[in-house]
Amino acid sequence: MKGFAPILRKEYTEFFRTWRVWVVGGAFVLFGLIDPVVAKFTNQILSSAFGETPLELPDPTYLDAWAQWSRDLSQLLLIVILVVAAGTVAGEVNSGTLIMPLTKPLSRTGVVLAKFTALSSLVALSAVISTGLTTLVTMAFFADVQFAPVWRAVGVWFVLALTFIAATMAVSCLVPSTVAAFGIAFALQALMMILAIWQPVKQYSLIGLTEAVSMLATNQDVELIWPVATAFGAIVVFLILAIVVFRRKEL
Amino acid sequence: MTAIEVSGLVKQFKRHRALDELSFSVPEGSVFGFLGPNGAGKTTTIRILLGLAHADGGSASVLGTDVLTDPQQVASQVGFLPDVPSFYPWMRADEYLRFCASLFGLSGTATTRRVDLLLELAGLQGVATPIGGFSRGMKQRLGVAQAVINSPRVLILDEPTSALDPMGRHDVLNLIAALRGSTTIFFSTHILSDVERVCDRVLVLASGRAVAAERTEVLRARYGGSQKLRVELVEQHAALPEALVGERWLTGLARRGEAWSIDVLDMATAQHRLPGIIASQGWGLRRLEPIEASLEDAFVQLIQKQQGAAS
Repeated sequence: MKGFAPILRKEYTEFFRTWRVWVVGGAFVLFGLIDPVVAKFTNQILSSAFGETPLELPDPTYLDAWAQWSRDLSQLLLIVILVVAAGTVAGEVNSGTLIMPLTKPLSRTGVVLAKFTALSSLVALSAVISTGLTTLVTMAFFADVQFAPVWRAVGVWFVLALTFIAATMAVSCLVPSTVAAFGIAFALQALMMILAIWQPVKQYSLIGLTEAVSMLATNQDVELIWPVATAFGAIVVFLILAIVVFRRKEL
Repeated sequence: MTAIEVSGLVKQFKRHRALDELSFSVPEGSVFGFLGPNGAGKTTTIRILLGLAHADGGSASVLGTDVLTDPQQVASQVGFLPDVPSFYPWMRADEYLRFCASLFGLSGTATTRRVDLLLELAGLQGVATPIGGFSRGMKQRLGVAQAVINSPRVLILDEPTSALDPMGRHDVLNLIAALRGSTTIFFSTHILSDVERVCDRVLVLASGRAVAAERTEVLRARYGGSQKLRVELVEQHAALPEALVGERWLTGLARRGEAWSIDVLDMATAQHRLPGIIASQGWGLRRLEPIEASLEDAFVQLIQKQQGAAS
């Protein structure tokens, strides 16, 4: 795994010096800040949009803020992660920036694992900071706030995010363009949502992770062993696939 | 010792055979010109030597290490500059060189000194602009600097001057010339004047095959076409061709402005006989000199010969 540390350093520096910090960091912070506000004022927003409705909506609680945050994490913010992950290998192969480093004592396995580590840790950092912010804003708007549900949900969401990062990186090694890599990864996400309709698949595979995140956020009990175990298995398989494909790739 | 040894190398792209049993060796310490028209297989060979592509047959080694089985060991002793080097546009030149040094496990004050020295050699010292704002020439000079960050024993340059203006070419060739003696340089190009300027050995590649491999001057002499004499008379005399009729050493004659270009079979006889013939006509001789065959002549002849054989 020669060259792992230099590539990891380069990935971190690149994240903070390019658009990535604004897109990933910005999106996480933005949704983290506005989600509790949206939860607090959902009733007022609906009333002002549709006028008086016969439907009586209950007063929102902090659990609505957690539910809103978990939905955005599992949908919009996951797409932001796919955009970044899709370009990790395909983008560098297309631009030719990996050619000169790869003619030095740098292992291709090291490149894949360093990129995965860098993106995963930066996503974790973004999730922790933005969940901290959403917690603070929620405390400002709601009473008797319990923190455990949202942090448990974010923990499980991170496993889901790691699975998507690994899968998208594998696709990014397989196909020659960032756009194609994103398209395939997005299609995988959509397929996961469709398969989630089938109860046995949801219960015994990583497909159930998305629903588990929203259930944990609203303080419901969820059976996590199979979804989490299969997700870790998938992460390992996707990473091995990425490494094997990238090692054979002609540049 | 041999720096690069290639034997029976084959590379197939679907129906196109890019390398066809290519074999050659590069002596250590030489500046080796790897010459060929576009599509001859130069870059494919280099990509295989560097572990960026796989061969479909044959073997290749750099400094005795097989590039197909131990590319990491090869990489530790080699420097490489592609024809159009791509850098991380957000990095500065000094950061890129430090990044390259770290890939070799180099760090500390010695590396800082090496980076400073290379920045100075490349004329990039104190340049704080990110690489994305560099001109092509600046990028190419930085490319040479990153290629020698590890003081490589073998330096592989893939058409390093093809995309540059005359000043950029001049700078890069000077950088290459400065490395002569300390490093084996494998220099791929189709710019013949660059080869004549810096290379002491040349391999000519056509359709994936080596068609000639010689010292530069031997190649020029052997394949540079017929020997030529340049003759200038004191006054213009259109009757020179008639005066030379029947001379067995003569194979051709052409007017080149003020002078005559004479193709000869036997240079010594021509140089001996010609002044007498001119004097016998009552003409004055201003200049008589042999014209050295150019590498371009040799290259054109070799490629035409190869194309003729292929068709």
